[in-house]
Amino acid sequence: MDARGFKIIYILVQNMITITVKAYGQLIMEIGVEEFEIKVSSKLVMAIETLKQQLINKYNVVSAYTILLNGKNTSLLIKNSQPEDLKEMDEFSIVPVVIGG
Amino acid sequence: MHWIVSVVRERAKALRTICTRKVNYRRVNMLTGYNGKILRINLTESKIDVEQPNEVFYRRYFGGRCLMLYYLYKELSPETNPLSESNKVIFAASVITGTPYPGLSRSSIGAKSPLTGLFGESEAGGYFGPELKFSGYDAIIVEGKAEKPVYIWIKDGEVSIKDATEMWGKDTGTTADMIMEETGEKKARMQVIGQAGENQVLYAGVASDLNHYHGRCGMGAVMGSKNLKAVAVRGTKKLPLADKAKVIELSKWFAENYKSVVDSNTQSRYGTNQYYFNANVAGSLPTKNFNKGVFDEIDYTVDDMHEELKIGSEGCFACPVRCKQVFESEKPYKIDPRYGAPEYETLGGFGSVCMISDFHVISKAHELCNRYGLDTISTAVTIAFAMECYENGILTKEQMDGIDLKFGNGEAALEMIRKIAFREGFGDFLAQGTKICAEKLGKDAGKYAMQVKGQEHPIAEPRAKYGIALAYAVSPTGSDHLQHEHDGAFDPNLTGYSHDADETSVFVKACNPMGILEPVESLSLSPKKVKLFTYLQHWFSCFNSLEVCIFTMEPVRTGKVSHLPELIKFSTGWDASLWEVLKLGERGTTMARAFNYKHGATKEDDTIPDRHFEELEGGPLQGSKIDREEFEKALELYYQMMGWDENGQPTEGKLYELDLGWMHEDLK
Repeated sequence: MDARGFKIIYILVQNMITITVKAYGQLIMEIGVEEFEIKVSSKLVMAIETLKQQLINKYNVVSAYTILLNGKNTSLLIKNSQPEDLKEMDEFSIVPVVIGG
Repeated sequence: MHWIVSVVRERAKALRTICTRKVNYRRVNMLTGYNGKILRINLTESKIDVEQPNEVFYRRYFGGRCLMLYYLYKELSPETNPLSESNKVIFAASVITGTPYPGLSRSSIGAKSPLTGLFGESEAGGYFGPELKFSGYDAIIVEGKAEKPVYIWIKDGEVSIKDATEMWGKDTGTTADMIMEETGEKKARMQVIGQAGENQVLYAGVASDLNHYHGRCGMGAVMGSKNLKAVAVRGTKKLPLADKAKVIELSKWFAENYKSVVDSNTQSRYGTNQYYFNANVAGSLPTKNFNKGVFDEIDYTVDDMHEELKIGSEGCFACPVRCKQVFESEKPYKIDPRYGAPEYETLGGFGSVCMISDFHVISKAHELCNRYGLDTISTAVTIAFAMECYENGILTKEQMDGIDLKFGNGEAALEMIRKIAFREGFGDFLAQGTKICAEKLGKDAGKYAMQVKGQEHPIAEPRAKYGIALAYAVSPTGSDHLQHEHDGAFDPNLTGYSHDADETSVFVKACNPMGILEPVESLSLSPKKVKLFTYLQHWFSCFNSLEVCIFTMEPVRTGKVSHLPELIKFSTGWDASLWEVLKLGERGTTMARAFNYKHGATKEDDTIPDRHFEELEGGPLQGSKIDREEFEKALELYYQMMGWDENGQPTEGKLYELDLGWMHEDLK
């Protein structure tokens, strides 16, 4: 099976969905838009990984950022073992982290 | 007629001079980067002396925090009342202050703090530090108490104690104008107190050229207790450097590269203002006296605020970033641009913490604090404390002079700032800070005092970044946000990456030379976090001794970690290393610990308010809290990593390892 085949199987297995990503602060300047859509897995940890890869590879983002899912801090959700399955129309927010004193 | 006026003016000036000492301005032979001279001024006796410590002293203590602690530890007793004649106040630069590289402009003021009763220090950028160095001195130790108000005037080595009776009662801006007029030096740089310092408000600060500020630890009150209104300097002799060409090369590199570093670039545009808005979206913005992490009433952006108020930016000596914002307004409040503009801490303090949404009110509060000489952080958090006490029935409107000091009431907060500065009515009570106020009020008031060791929290929420909990608890000066780099820069879930997805975080990578190799979660107090905190505390502590601005250096900003030892080498000629620099940081923290131990601090003081062990209300981080057991364990590990015993006292071995055996001899 070629790479395309693997990709199709991956999509079927992982139940890809489309969600909105909203950017804040200097991330808007880095990305060039305030909002975009992204296809991700419905599993939170995998969806975050896809988002990170896209922010690096497509948008060259170098800022440190927090990721929120529907207004909840995803690190806290993962820490508390509460990651929910993502649904269509869910929203990621990416917010620059306050660092540097 | 003009000449008569001129003669009269000169005579009047001469009469106002209480004491002058002309000092041999020649620098100590062969020294580069620093002068090798420390001024000692006794205000009781109007006596001016110059001390010349040897090179080993300078290479061991470097300046700032370590230099101040050397003298304060040796010369103050545990019985020293911070507001008495026996306290000393030190103005210190470092061996590299004034070297023309961005971020080497800072200077410190240190004394026994009236707010904490422990080691007090406060740093600020601007131009005073370099100017002091160019005037021929590395530091000034002021002791005793003047019979009447005075200011110290230093010009190219010549030192005078001058009458400041006419300046007493004036605000910082008016005083600065009067000093420039009297000395005839428009380029004089100065540290000035306002009415709050004169009235010994325990958190009175010191304005440095009005737009830079030594806010923390009540250094303005110590100056006020000595009848010292200001220290002004003018120096025209640049310091010789061991390798000036190399310094210029590094500075040029910085100037060419800072715009490509995201945080330096945005800081150049916004100062620290944008952090207020980002923290609010992220749910980490202390709100309603640290009850919540989101302030719902912010309905504007940083650009909206700047469009309405900003008229420009200012910077510090040799720095192209120019991160100091300048606001001006006529309505609804007149805001004088000479006092700059609120930064993140002030926006958060008077904004979300006091729940005041109107940025005009916040900007006016900032201006009033700088004008009267008050720390914006402690002032705001003390007012928020009163607001919460009022909300919970511990304070009544009558007790507060009929002022309806409820959360969100901006006018009431502005009036209370004035009352605090002048110690008028209820302002006299709040002038003592949250710890003392809570003790006096009793009931549950202690629950609402957001402070550690007596100093009010800056505007960072420990439940959003757990390292802050440790930072607040063990900071030698009480709650302090500049103890270490904030956790977010090192979080594998949050952090930004370099363009290569396989590379580690750029911030972790920047710290690789220190031995920081892996990311650590923000919401954690694991052993890895304690190690990260400890190393970064060394890094930030060395900044306090070398007088380096964190806004110019890695891990988050432009200047490379490797630049710091290089700058010491190119300035002083010493073959410095990163090892030596980190050991300097550790030495500073340990000296402060020893000072505090001598002055009565115990392990029990290393804690945070109970509120942070409870769940955060609302917002993206709702439910986040510090686990008490994890916190206690982290504290224990931190002591061990620092070479302190189970009570947090530096061990004999650690003190000797840091060349502080003399402290051990004293403590035992």
